[in-house]
Amino acid sequence: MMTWYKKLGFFNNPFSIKPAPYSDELAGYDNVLREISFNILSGKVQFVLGSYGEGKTALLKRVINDFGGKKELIYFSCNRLDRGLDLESLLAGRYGLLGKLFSIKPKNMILLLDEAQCLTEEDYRAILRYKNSGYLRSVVLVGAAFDKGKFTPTPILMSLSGITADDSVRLVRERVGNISLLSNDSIKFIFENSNKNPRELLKNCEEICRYAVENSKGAVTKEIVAEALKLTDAAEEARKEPPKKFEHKKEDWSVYREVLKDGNRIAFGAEPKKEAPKSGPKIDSPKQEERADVPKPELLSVAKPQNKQPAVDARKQNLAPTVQEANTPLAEKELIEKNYY
Amino acid sequence: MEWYEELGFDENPFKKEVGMVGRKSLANEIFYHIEAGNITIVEGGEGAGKTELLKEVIRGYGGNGKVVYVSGKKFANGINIERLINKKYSFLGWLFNKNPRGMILLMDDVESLTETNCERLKYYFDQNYIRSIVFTTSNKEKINFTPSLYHRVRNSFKLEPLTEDEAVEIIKKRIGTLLPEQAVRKLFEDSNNNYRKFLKDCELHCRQLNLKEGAA
Repeated sequence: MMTWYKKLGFFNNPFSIKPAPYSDELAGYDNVLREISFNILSGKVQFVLGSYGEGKTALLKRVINDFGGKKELIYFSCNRLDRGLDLESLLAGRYGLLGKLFSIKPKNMILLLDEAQCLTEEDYRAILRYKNSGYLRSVVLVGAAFDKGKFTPTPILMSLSGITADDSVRLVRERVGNISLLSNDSIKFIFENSNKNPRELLKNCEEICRYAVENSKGAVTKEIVAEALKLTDAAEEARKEPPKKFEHKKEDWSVYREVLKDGNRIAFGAEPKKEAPKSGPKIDSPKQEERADVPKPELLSVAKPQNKQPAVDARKQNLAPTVQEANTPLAEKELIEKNYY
Repeated sequence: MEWYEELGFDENPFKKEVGMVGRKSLANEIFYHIEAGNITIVEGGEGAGKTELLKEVIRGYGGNGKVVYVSGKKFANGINIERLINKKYSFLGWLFNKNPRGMILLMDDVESLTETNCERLKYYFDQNYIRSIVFTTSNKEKINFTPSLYHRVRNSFKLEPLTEDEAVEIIKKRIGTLLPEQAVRKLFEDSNNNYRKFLKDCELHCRQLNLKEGAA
């Protein structure tokens, strides 16, 4: 039983969802990458926000490739924490496998934290302390949800606002080249039917190509897409449904179950633990019914190709004074982005 | 002489390995997803054949060293997956340069996963130390995957309980025509889809056959 991709001449599954194993390119994220690199070189603290399957881990991998050569990187994934973040051990490289990759230079390290939505306030303050003491040159936090109340003072916030249809074509072509099985139009069509999510796109491409090859179709048409996706609908539904009984200790999980369920891009966190409702922003876990009333806050989007210097423009627009930040309700269309470093 | 020896068997026919029956298409699906580097979940009740399915996978890969089978119960009680991976390979291999990649991880009968283990699985999967994972479970809702790991799951399959015909075929494989098919079917009905009870009943009947032999 030869797999469909072997029949097409590929050694491995070209649509594997493992983050970017095939190329250096991250379609649609050139701007974000530039921004992230710039911030690292400028010694900033930044938070990259994106929901699942958008490319956060792929971005991190790329950053590791770009900056890791000089062994100045520490990468850690925060949902491995049993207790609070132990920066001391992290710096000393005692977090095992991952810390071992990068040599242990106590000063001027670049800290990459994945699943940063798991961090607590204390963790974040500890990070800032280490940064101010010179152990950390720059910090990149990556996560699926951003709780403004926890991350105060606010880091530079970047939201992955999705890739375009053309990006999706680039993404797929990176992996399969110019095979005639898939036309650019069919790729775009599949992209539309994948909630515009890169990982969904890859999974659907795999499903569709497999279907086409196993049923001896020469080229993927819209009908074939519909057939193939319909066949896996039952399996897809079962898979897309997040686990119902999700008893996680950390309250943030419930927020991005909401995000996953209806694709809404609001990802600000649940009620912060702090008991200071007057000064802190009022962040409510958005409920289904109420969501329609809350205008979507505009997050900095650097992935749109039409903006030549999106980051700079956004900064110009958003010179919100620091003191008022804490009191600004989320509903206002304001990007709170203040550079403290 | 054991009861089965008197009946002409070398070993207890109810304890030996007879391989998987039916489920050909599901097994093929699983093989595909393993090859393609995906994560899959197989859900099935007790006795539906989850472990047998995984054994089929192990047989399929013929001991080339890349398949790791773990019983989920052991796993929930705090097995560290890093140690699991490292056990397979030497300490030196652990240091990345000689890192072995492409492990196939079979997690049988998973009941729960700690966050830490979810994160480790995700990390090793992303880095391709683990090529693919197959989870089997009686109920995937109970497992408490972290969202980031769950989002990577490619497909979820339901393993239906054995059908009567499949059960009959299994018994035939084990004991030939020692028990009349009618009797086997009746026993299957009575067992109420409890495969282990069904096997036990069949074995009991065989033992009684042995006793009756003298009388017949």
